[in-house]
Amino acid sequence: MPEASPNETAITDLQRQLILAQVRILELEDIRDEAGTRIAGLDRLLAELQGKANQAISDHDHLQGAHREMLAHRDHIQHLLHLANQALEATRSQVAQLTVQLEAGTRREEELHGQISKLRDTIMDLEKKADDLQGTVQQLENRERDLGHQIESLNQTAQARLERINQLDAELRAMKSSRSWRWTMPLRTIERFFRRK
Amino acid sequence: MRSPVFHHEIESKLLRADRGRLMFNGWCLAEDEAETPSVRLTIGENIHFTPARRFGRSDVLQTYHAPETADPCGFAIEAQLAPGAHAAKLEAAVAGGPWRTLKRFIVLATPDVIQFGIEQPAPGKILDESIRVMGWCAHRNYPLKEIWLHYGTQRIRCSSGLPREDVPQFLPESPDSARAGFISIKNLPVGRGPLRIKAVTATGETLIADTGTFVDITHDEDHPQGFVHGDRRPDLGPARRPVADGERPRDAQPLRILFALYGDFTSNSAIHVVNLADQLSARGHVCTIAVPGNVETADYFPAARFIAGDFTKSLAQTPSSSFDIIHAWTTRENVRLFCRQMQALHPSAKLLVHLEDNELHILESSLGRSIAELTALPDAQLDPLIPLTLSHPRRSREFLAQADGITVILDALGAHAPAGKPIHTIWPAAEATCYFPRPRPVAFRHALGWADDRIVLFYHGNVHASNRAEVRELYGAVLDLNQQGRACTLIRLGRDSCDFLGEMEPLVVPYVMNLGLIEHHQHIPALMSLADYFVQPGEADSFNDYRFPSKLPEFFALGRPVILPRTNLGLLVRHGTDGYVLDRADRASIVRAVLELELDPILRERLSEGALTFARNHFDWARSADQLHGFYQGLLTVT
Repeated sequence: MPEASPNETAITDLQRQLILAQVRILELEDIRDEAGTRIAGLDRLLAELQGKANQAISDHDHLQGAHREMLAHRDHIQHLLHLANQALEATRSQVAQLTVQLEAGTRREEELHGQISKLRDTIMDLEKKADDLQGTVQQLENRERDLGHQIESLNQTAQARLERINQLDAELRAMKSSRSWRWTMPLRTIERFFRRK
Repeated sequence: MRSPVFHHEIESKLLRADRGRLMFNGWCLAEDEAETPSVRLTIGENIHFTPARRFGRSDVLQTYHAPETADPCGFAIEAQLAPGAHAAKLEAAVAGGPWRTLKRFIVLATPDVIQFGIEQPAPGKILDESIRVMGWCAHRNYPLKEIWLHYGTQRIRCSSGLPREDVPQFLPESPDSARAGFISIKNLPVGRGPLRIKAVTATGETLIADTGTFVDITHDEDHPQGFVHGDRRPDLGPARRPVADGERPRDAQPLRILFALYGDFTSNSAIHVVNLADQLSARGHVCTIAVPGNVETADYFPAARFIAGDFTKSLAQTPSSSFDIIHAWTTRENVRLFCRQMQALHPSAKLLVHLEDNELHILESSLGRSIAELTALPDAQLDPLIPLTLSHPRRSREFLAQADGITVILDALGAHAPAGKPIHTIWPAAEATCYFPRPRPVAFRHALGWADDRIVLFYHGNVHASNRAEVRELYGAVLDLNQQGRACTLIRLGRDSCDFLGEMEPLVVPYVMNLGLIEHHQHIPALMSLADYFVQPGEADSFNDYRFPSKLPEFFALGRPVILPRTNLGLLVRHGTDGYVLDRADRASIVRAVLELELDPILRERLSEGALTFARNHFDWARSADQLHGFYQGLLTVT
């Protein structure tokens, strides 16, 4: 079988082009459908934006109304501002006075701090002396305690000796009141006589 | 003087000025005023529109207890606006008082159409004479730079700027009104279609308007013999039809599913994965399809609901939550390596591997070496031989062994799964919106110069090492039919990655309409409608026994007799009922089958109906996705 003639080849090519043109039409229809969907989407977006723009305008108008109200209250606000300024000045004056007082107080405080410091030193010295005295007192108390013990011991000794004296005195009186002592009295008189001689 | 208090309403929510024309109604009352206040619309600061009409609104008077003298308080405002967004305000005033703004708003104005008049020929008639067209054309706002006439495939430029004395009288605002005349630069040539006028403004904007005249010129100075136009432009029918897509029931526990494809979204496998992922997504599952590259080809599925990503980015992303399923689409090396890395990132995910071909046969064909020869090589020699786009003879087996489940496109592929692995068969389908019974476009076939008795076959698919022999058989059958005196054309789509015709090429080329790669898959069915029969060439062998030609569901869905070999799907199709099944769909058998069908219109009709019935019973993406989801659930419940 012979190969295709140039005419047949050309016809086949045209047929191919015609079929491919149909494919292109299908592609374009797809694009059209997609574009239609996108346009519808854009239309929705546009309507949404228009709504938002209108909302923004509405908000803007509302703010403008608020602005007008603010302007209407401007004098009152200015008066309040004046009063506030006056109060501020008075406060500032008070603050100045207080500042002076504060400075004086600060100086006094510093002096007091100095005195307090000295007093603290004095207190410390006194506390030290007190501690020393406390030691001395302690020593004295110890000494007193020792002396008490000694006194008590001496008292006991004296008591014992007094009792001995009383005992001896009783014995003496008993002896002197005894008959023998009386009977021997002339003898003792004679003896004292002779002794004086 | 106390300021009046106005009550008002504009009875339209958003004000649009289509083609620049704004119309709206409203009403306005001034409290404690006996008279009707004046109202106006102000655009910008200085453009004012007073009401075109005033009318009574007794309902408003009753509502506000206004005196009857306050009527008519209703108003209708009409305005012509330039295109764009305008700041507008509605204003009102009592007698002698200042204007007060009642409401401010935005008005959107779309461009006005061009104004024109066709004076030759007389408007409204069918123009069947090759003459020059003249008239006037202007725009209210813009000067025009060019004027064209369009009809059918013709684009005729016009001389414009011709003086007109009448136009300024009724279109004074137009910058072109005094020179609005135009005339076509030549007699209208042969062509057919509605006559449209196109104007290009000085700012570059294009405006088109229908003139109301229909052009049907069959003769001109170049076509004195006459040019025959059909009643309508023959075409191939629509790309798609609307299909009721009811809301799918959503699964209680949505799964995160990752599909890993070996190629980009232009592959046939991608169509399968995309449809499954789309159906699963419609049920509430989160499906990601990862491809090695060209992720932008996912744009071919603009309405799809899955997430598209590429391997590199998928691995680089820190997982926000773990995948439940990693579904590897084939065992090819790029998929295997990617899935192993993803498994490390998502250790709790179940791994599934899908088989849709005899991978080892493809490997043999591509490398030109037998599997025995390849497997005898040590790894050090074998590994460099295996490209990422093919399956490794050893590692693919290991990959299958590590899988929690196997899916196959054909039951026979289950033999390639390791013993004991859960196996599920996924039936592919054809997208119902595009693949449906389509009538043969007789008018278009006539436009192509094809006689009614011309036999048209159709084959869409790439030719590669694995199918070159069987596609050659199909081409041979086409050549034989023509050599036997039966005019036969094969419409062929797809790429040829190898020379498969050899010496036959110059002989068969005149009978092959090679359209190359059609970019958008949804445009293929319209081309398929040109066919009388669909032929799947081939025979039972180690390649065909383990594959499911993805064209077959599409063939069946179109409602034409399908000629196919007794292998893969051909084992299920009933010969003479669902399709024409051949033991070997080789050159001679295809010729015999086509000739038998040509001679037997009853058989032809029966097989056309049978194809549709078979498609309805077996090919449904929603059903396949439901079954796949069931398989996933079964694997996930296994601990």
